[in-house]
Amino acid sequence: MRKRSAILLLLPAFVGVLIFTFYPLIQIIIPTLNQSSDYGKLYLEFLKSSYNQTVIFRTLAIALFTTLVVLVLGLPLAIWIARQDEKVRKLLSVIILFPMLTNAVIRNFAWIIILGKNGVFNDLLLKLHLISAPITILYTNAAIVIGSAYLFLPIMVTSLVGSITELNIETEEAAAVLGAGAMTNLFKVIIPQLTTGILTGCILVFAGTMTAYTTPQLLGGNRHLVMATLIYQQAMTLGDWTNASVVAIILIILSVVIMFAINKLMKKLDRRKVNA
Amino acid sequence: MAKLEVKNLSMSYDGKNKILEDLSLSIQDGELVSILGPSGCGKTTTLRIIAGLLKQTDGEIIVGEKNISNLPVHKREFGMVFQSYALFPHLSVFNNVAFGLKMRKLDKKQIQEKVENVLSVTGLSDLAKRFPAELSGGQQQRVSLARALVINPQVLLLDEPLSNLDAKLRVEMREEIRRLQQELKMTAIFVTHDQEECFAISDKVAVMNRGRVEQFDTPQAIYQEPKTLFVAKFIGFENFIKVVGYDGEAYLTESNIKLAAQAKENTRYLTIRPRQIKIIETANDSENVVKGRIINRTYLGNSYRYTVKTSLGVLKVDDFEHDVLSRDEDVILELAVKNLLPLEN
Ligand SMILES: Nc1ncnc2c1ncn2[C@@H]1O[C@H](COP(=O)(O)OP(=O)(O)OP(=O)(O)O)[C@@H](O)[C@H]1O
Ligand SMILES: [Mg+2]
Repeated sequence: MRKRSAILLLLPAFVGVLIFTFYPLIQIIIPTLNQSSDYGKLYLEFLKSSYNQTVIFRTLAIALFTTLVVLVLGLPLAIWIARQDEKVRKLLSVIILFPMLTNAVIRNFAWIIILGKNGVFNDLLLKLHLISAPITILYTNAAIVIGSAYLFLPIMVTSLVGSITELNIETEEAAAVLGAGAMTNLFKVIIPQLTTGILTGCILVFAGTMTAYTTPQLLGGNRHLVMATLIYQQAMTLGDWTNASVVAIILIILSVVIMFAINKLMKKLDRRKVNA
Repeated sequence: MAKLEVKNLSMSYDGKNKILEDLSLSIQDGELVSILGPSGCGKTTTLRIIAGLLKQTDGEIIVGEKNISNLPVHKREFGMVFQSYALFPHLSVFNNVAFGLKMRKLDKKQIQEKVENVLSVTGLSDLAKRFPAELSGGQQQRVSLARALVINPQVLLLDEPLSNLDAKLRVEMREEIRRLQQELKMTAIFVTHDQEECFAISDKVAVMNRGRVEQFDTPQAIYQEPKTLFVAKFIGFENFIKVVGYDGEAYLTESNIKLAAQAKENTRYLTIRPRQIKIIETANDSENVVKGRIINRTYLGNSYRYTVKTSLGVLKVDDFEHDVLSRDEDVILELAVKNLLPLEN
């Protein structure tokens, strides 16, 4: 009796969530369904275009690179944070989240200033005599990777710090006694125990980068479109809602498939460490 | 393979409280020494310093002729069994045990051979493919032992390696450890709470109290001639008679009674085991006789335990010979000189 009334009470909220989750999705699909001809053809044509292939490839490549960069930078940082005293650790964990509290547009304008032809970065390289003339970084794929990495580093670090604090420090000591130096310990003992945290962080960063709009728009310019910016261009600039929705659906499918695959991998690795 | 010397070790985690104070141990090549002591006395700390996991505040560690006080942990090549096992959760039993051999860059065949060998010795052959999370506490402990033994270390450090096994397995494993240690001629330190275990397995025992070694001796010497009040209490002595002076022939107790016993400097207490106190019929003129009254009686199976109130204080007496005595009976007790041991504080 109580259970049934509880379900009844939850029903409005449930229906609400359902509507607000799926209605926009359906709205995205509808334009492609409105085309009277068979809509499989729409997708095929889209995928056949070499321009579109480049955009899809660029989207995946940028997401992958960003994930790797964030992982390589985030892991040592997370280990360092996790190994501080509890008070310092909590403070650092908050500080690391700070970039996420600023507006995305402002954040990216900062990068435009830093990476531009006369920006701080080029100045620095010139002063160090590493280059003789300013190089182009802004409005390249590299700029998108840099901006995205900055955006998503906090997420990776937060995910990793959680995993690392749970790690039994004695396993590292045991490895050291058995002859493992610091590097061996990192790669043979610490990282293998962090698979869950690393994969969770990677999923979040990868999916986030792949679907982000502001950063590639502001730092990549018009010649380095990714799927998110392509959707905007199709819909808003060209008014082609059908094509925009095709891209959107491909983007959704890609993200879901990738997340699903990583999840599978995680489950497989997890069998080994049921709280040892 | 190597003599291990610990010289004047001091340790403080926070710079104020001294956890270890001027601790020295000298362990001969191939000897097994137990460190026995109550919880929190610094056993694990001592072991971790020897392993190189902690840096001592003061003091030296010497293996053979080599001073290793500043050698980093991964270069010391010791074997260690952790109190909490510290198995690698991401590796199978086989790979846990093989870890140290891989660090030593042995070839695959040798690794296979050595690991299988040690797994069979520790009774783990059937579990080689399992992961630590799929093992019982006792099995995990044996993996941790196998992992330390397989590298055939010159020094083996064991931190309560048997604390989680049941009584039968415990005895088996300790004999196995002893056998392997002697066979491979490892110098070993074995930390334990358990007196019986430490007496059974060791060449020598170091009894620790509050960061100091109270006595470092053979098990026999510790058992028969404890030197301090703490050691005597720890290994089960129950009668302690406080003394205030020595007149050249006998000790003077607090209650102004003279007791003859072996003369020794700094004596603060005399002790005697309950079964070494004799109940005698008539007070003869011999030394160390005291009158008392039974205030309690307990049946112990092969003897009776009497609690006797005397002018020396309350004494515990175990009696095998006489007919059962009852409460409030007056008795005469003899504390034979040879059984009365002087103790320092
Ligand atoms: N990391 C640490 N920081 C501060 N104090 C510590 C630390 N580790 C241990 N201690 C203290 O040092 C003392 C000795 O600890 P240790 O672990 O060596 O005891 P133990 O003899 O091994 O005890 P047990 O039999 O319970 O294992 C204890 O009082 C403990 O509280
Ligand atoms: Mg301990």
